[in-house]
Formats: sequence, C-alpha cells, structure tokens
Amino acid sequence: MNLNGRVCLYGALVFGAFSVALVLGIHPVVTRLTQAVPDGALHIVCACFALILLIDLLTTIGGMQKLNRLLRDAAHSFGHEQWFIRRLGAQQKRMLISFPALISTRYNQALQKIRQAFFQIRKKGCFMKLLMLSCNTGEGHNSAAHALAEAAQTKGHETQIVDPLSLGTDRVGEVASSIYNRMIQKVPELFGLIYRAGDLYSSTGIPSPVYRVTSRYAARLREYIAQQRIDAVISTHLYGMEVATAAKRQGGLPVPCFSVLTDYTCIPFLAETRQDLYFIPHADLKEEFIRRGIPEEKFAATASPFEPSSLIPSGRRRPGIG
Amino acid sequence: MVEIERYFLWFLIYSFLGWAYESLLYTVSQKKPINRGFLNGPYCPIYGTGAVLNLLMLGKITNPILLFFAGALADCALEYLTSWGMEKLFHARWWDYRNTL
Repeated sequence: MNLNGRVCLYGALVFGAFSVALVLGIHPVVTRLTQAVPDGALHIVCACFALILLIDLLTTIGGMQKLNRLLRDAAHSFGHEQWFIRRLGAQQKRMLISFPALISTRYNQALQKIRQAFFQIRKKGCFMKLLMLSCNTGEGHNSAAHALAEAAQTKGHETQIVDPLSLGTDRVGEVASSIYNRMIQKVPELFGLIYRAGDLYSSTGIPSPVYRVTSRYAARLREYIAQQRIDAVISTHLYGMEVATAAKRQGGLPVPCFSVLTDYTCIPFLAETRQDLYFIPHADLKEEFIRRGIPEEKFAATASPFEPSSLIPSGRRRPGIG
Repeated sequence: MVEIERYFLWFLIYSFLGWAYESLLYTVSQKKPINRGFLNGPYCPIYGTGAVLNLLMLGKITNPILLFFAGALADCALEYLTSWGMEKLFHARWWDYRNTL
C-alpha cells in the first residue's frame, strides 16, 4: 500500500514506532545529556554545523544540477555511456551507489543506462569484455580484429583477440588450418577451386567439413567465455563464426555473437553459421547473403573495418559494439 | 536563542541517528558500505526534521497508541512533502514505493 509511491504503509508503521520510542524513550535521555552542554559550547557546535550543512547543501544542489545536465546530454546521444561515466563526480557517483532506487523524472532512461554501465565498470573494471575471434589464415582478418579492438578500447571495453583453434587441447583444427594455408599459398589456383567446390557443397545443406572440425572447439569456447566473463563474441573469420555457431547449437551461449565480414562476397560455408548480427561492408551485399539463407534482419551494413574513420564513433551507434 | 540552539542540536543528533539507521539498513541489504542520505555528510536531515517536529507537536503526549498513530501520520506527511518537493526541485525521486507494499 502506498500513496503515489511517496509514502507507504510499512514506512508509516516504522515512523509510528520511531515516534513512540523517541518521545517516551530516547528523547528524555537526549534531553538530559544535552542539558549538560554549556551554552558556550552549544554556540560553537551550532555555528560549525550550520556552516557544514550549508556547504554540504550547496555542494549537493550543484551536484544534482550537474547530474541533470549530464542526463539531459546523455538522453540525446546514443551509447557513449563511458563518456558520461567519466564525467560523474564524487557526489553523483555516491547518489548512484547510495540510492539504488533513484529515478529521474525527466531522463530516467539515460539515468538507468548510465547506472547499469557504471556498476558494470565498477564490478568488472571495464564496460564490456569482448572476445574477438580471428584466425591467422589471413592477415586481413587479424587487422580487422585489431582495428575493432582498438576502437572498442577507446570506448572503455576490454578486448581479447584469440584464434579459436588455439583454444582446444587437440591440434586437429590448427593442423588442418595450417595445411590449408600452406596449400593455398603454394598453389593459389586451388583457392578458387576450393571456393567453387565449397559453394557447391554449401548448396547441399550438409554441415561442412569446416563445421565438423571447428565444432570440436565449441565446448572449449563456452568454458572460455564463462571463465573470462566475456560479454560478447565478435568473429572476423569464418572459423570463429563456425565455433560460435556450434557452441550455440550444442548448449547455447550466454552472450551474443557478431560477425564482421571482411570479404565483399558471401564466402562458402558462411551461410551455415548462425550469428546474432553480421556486419557487412556494404548494403548491396545483403541480397547475396539473403539468397544464401541468412535472414535479412541479421545484417547491419557498415563500412569496411579497415577504414579507420568508420570506427571512430560519430554519434551513430554500432549495434552491440557501441 | 539557546532554546532554538537546543532544538538545532537535537536536529543534528536525530539526523545522525537517522543516517546511521538508513546506512546500516542498506549496508546490510546491499552487502557493501553505503552512505545514505541526500547530503554527503553523516546525517539525514529528514530524520532530524521529523524528530524535531514530533517533539514540538507530540512531545506532551504520553499515550503510546495515540503517539504511534499521530507520529506515523505526521512523519508520512513530512515524507510525502519532502518527496514531492525534491522532485519539483531536482526532477528526481530518491525513493519510490510504487512497487513495494
């Protein structure tokens, strides 16, 4: 039972009990004790505390005005909670900590977002812990991962770049991967052949050999995510996507998985992966991916991660990474 | 003047006791040290104000039942006014019982 949320029955009962205790029990004692205070000391104590309370009150009013200004700005920007958290002073931080139920009547959404991010950072030391799955098969994938990691770090996220095939205890994947690498380096024509064969294979709908090999690492990926308290997985290479897909299928993943595609085409076997969102270099590529069986809503067209300008936050939020 | 100063001293004492009560309550429930109160220092003026108002208005009452109800009513009125006033001034609510009993 409450009245506009401002007072409640439970509070009333506590106040009633306090009133009885105060008038009949506590105050007679307090009166006796304070009567012993000489007038001179009373003047000094009162003057000091009046000053302290005044300063505290002014500090608090100023602090609340600053909080409201920050919230107003935050309400008109997307993401960038990190930026606002850095601007919180001691007074605003204490308010967030001491009043878990504090709500803003004007910018509550912004307040709750900042509160959530603030506590996340206090608890974990960073906003989000992002696991980047790259692969040493191509430097392109690695540089994409590094570029993304750099951009994420500037926003307060912690990043790790890991080759998913180094997660396992057996070396099947690594060996297979290095054989494949050496093969296509020595005989580049094979690359095209494998691509075409892969395309053909993909159309059958049978899980690919890549999936078969990489899925062996799924359990290890799940363990890793739990151990390192990862918040999201971002793959810049097919292997990572395949491992994440297998992990999702085998027992679910508690975190979202994203792919940043560096190729300007839908590479073989990509369509068998299941990610929460695929970032593609250009919107025109969507059609090809949709034809291969990935639902339209799973795409976000962003510029290629190699262009640094596309990584610097320009006020537009990148889903999941921002 | 000394009379007013006595009341101010009592206001300070009960503000501190109120702060101690609130902070203890939240330190236990949140499992971490919590410094409650609108102001930064170790005092909750609303408790001091409530106590002084109670003493001024109900100080002569000796019947505990009457005291209980009159105190509950007076303090709720103060809490309501404070909540309303702070919302008007700062566009925020420090407590909200809409989801509690």
